[in-house]
Amino acid sequence: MDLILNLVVDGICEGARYAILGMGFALIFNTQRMFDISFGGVYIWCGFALWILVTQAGINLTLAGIIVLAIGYLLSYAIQKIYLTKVRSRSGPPVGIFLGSMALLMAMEAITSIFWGGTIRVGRIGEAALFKWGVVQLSDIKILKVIFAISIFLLIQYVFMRSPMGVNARAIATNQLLAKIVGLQNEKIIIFTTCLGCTVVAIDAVLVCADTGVYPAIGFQSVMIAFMSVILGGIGSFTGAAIGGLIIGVVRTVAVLEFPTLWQELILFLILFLIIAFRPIGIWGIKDWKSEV
Amino acid sequence: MEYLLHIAIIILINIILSVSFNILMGYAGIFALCHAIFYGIGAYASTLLMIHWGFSFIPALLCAMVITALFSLIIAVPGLRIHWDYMVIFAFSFQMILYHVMLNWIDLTRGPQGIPGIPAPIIFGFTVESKISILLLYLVISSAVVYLAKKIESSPFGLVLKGIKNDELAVKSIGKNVTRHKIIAFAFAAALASVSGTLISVYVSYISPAYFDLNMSVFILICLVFGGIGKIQGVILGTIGLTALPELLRFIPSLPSTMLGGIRDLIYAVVLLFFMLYRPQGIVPETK
Repeated sequence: MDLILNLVVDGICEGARYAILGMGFALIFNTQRMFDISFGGVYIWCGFALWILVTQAGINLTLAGIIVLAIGYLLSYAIQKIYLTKVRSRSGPPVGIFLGSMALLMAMEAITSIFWGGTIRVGRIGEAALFKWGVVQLSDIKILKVIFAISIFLLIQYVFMRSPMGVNARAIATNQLLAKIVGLQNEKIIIFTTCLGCTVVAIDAVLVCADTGVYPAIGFQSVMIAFMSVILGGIGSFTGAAIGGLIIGVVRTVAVLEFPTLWQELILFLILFLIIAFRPIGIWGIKDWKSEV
Repeated sequence: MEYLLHIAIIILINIILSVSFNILMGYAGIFALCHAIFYGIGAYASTLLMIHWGFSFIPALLCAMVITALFSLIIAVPGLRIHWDYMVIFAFSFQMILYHVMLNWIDLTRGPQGIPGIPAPIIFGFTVESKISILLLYLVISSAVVYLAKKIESSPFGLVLKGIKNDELAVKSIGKNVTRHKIIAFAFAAALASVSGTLISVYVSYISPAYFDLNMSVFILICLVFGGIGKIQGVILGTIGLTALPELLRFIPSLPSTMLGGIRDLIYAVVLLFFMLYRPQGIVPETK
């Protein structure tokens, strides 16, 4: 019983992390409605930046985390400005953005592995502080994951649903042409929300780097997890993305009880496959979101 | 000389792969990033048939084609109803599921250790063992595949596929069965990909799941983008270029071997970055 309780609590913390990723990707996807996966590259570089700042430069974790978030924002802004905006404006098919951002992700992963190799890097000096309630034991980073997930959720609910910027972004998502006609600067708003999404993803990179460590292939994994959270929760919805991430985290952690760890990944992808095959709108999805575009 | 022959053989195998992927993506416009899995299923099916059931080369090749075509239905049938962008993730997950099955079903595939000792092909009583004879055999097979793909391109079937790519509704309106055409295209592409799976397994006489991971799928895709999606000459040119290009790295002295993989990936990524920005239609653009 203690084991199950511990696993569930662990699963919720892990799920909170996935929820952050899912919400970050939802911010990007819900505005441009294209699979821009360059955030995976931002994820890798932010993780490694934290590791360098903490272990090589000796800056304390909180300050380093804040610096890394700024790096994440600027990096994604540069990526958008220098490369993806041009690809988007050549108005190739949506395949163009997907392939272009995939190339960016591959390049950033390759550069990281050329310089630092494939080993796991943990951006933390010293032991994690442990908190105990009865039989449940938690490290400080795990608690932070949950706190961040909740605050990002509330912030997005406010920014995206209430503020003028969010309303504009949603207008673009619904009908790009109409948004342009009424005088919105589509490209500017798309870049802003995408950078915001990348920064949210960078928060997860910081948390993971300080907890279990980062390695070059983690960028692609984070893309996969973000896809899963968004599809499971339902495309077009933030609440869905958060809940999707939470469910995946809990399922993945509790599945250890029944299945060997080797099969965990397979179960996740099987869930994803079955959802797309049988219920493509997900749990919380907006029906017919395609017809709005 | 041996080394050049080796590269030529790998290029021929890759040409079959990219030409078959071109049927799916170039003609029908189905963006299914899981082609390495069909390659892998072909390799494992023919290997297991040859090792455990004593099939000889040609029957194993044909059976593997049928098995792979059947596997392709798993993704083709549910995949038809869904929208383009779901298809990307759908194919991704299909790729990952079967890759993990190859990796973890130890009893069948021996997992990451791979299956060694695959016999050399015996055709009409001749054992094809030397590199030069393998090259000739593979040249014949890949020419046949390219010829077939070329035939499909100009056949009524191929034209319907191209119509589906450009305007699915128009094709429907003239009474063509879009669903059937897509499923056949899938099965066909998968079956041809399985041919290259069989060829690689008998050539290297060893297979492991590492050959069939997502990177391979992405590699095939980049070959297409590099050469020109939809145009066979371009696809062949792109495959030759991208297979040969990283081999040049071997001639740079004092390059640590741990960096090789990273630099190769970087080359592919930069090619893709450049082509998406400046020449999305590839080296040899598709004629309209």
